[in-house]
Amino acid sequence: MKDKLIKPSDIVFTAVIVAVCILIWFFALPKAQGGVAVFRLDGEIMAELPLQENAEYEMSAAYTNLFEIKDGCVRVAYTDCPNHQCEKTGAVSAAGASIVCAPNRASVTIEGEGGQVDAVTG
Amino acid sequence: MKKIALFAFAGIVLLLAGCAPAAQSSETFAMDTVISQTVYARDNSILIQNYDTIRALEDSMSKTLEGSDVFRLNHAGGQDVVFSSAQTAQALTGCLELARQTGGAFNPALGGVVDAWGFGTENASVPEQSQLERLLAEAEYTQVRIDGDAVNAGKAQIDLGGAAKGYALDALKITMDEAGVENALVAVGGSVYARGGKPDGSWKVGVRDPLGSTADFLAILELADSCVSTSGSYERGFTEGGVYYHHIIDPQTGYPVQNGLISVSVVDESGLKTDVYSTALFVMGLEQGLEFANSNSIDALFITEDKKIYMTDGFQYEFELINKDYQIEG
Repeated sequence: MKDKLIKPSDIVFTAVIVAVCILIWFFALPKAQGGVAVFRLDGEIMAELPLQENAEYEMSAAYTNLFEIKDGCVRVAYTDCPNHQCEKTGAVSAAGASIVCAPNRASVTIEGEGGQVDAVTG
Repeated sequence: MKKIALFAFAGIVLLLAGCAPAAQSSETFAMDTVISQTVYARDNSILIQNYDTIRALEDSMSKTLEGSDVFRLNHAGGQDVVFSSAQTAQALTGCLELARQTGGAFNPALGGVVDAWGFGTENASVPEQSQLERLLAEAEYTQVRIDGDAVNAGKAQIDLGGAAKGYALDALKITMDEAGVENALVAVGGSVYARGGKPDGSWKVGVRDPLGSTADFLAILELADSCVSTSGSYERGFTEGGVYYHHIIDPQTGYPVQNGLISVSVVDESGLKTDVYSTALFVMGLEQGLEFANSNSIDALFITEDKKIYMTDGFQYEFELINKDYQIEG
């Protein structure tokens, strides 16, 4: 008698392999980091701080930026850069929002879920 | 035999899962602004290639960097200069064509006037009228000659600051074409390039609220395979004697434009055009700018200081108003 083309054990084996593939794919996906302020200096990540905890973080290069995390928002509390655009940005909290100090090449970006836009023109 | 086939199948699935493009992101600085990239690719090498492309353009187009093509041209004392970068010549040629098309509303030879104001520096101040008049007389873009490799700007001071970010987006298109990238969003400051769509929908680009902070936006544009740039009176200004002076200069007067507009956004396939047209339309003002944009099939948004938004006829991109303090007119 001729063997069946596909045995039940083959189906189980295939299902396990597919499940393993899906798990690997799922865990390889970049994960959203809810409510985290990511501080960068010249593009390099210097710190990642949760918005839920009040804190201060300073970045100094050509100039100095003192960032303050308070009540779920981050703002520039002090800067000695020439145009103070970073300070004028005010407090940001929404995912995707950022404060940039071009003279100091420093930035803080809020990462997490729920951002309305991918970029801002202006 | 069947076992081998199953292993082969599993291997292919694993391989495909591992090779699927994933979002690669970075934030870096160049051209005196932040470069934000989200590129769907198998690794982050394209982020570095894109950044290198932008840095190379900055090195050749900066007017302050000694040795750049533009720096050498501005210090040549009216002599011919041979550009080291074909891209600088291409960008300058494009700027001169657009300057002629806009009747000088965009003027790439206004560098001397812009320097006199010192926008964005610690020395920002209102120049003497006599100084402005002298510099305006020298800011003649029609005198700029490009003859093969040789460029002559006469007494004009070339400033590609109003075009370089947009031109950079066009250069990134070529870089990502060669790398086979299908989906990406790159922002060079406020100039944004949406390449393809976003894998889970469309790219959403906020239009900054000119009366809010840099993080506030008043509307959302949905874009694919297009660029958008915005010129606004809120950028790089300073206050002197209780008066606010912004950085968009009227080539006729040498003073910041005061015509009731606070921002103009332009969407186009060409980044260079979005950058140049947004400045030119701002300078033209609402009435003339709308007429020019409509007659040249330019998609633009004009925002006035009394919070009204004017769109060009047949504005073809999805537009959602978020800040209801603003009203859409027309």
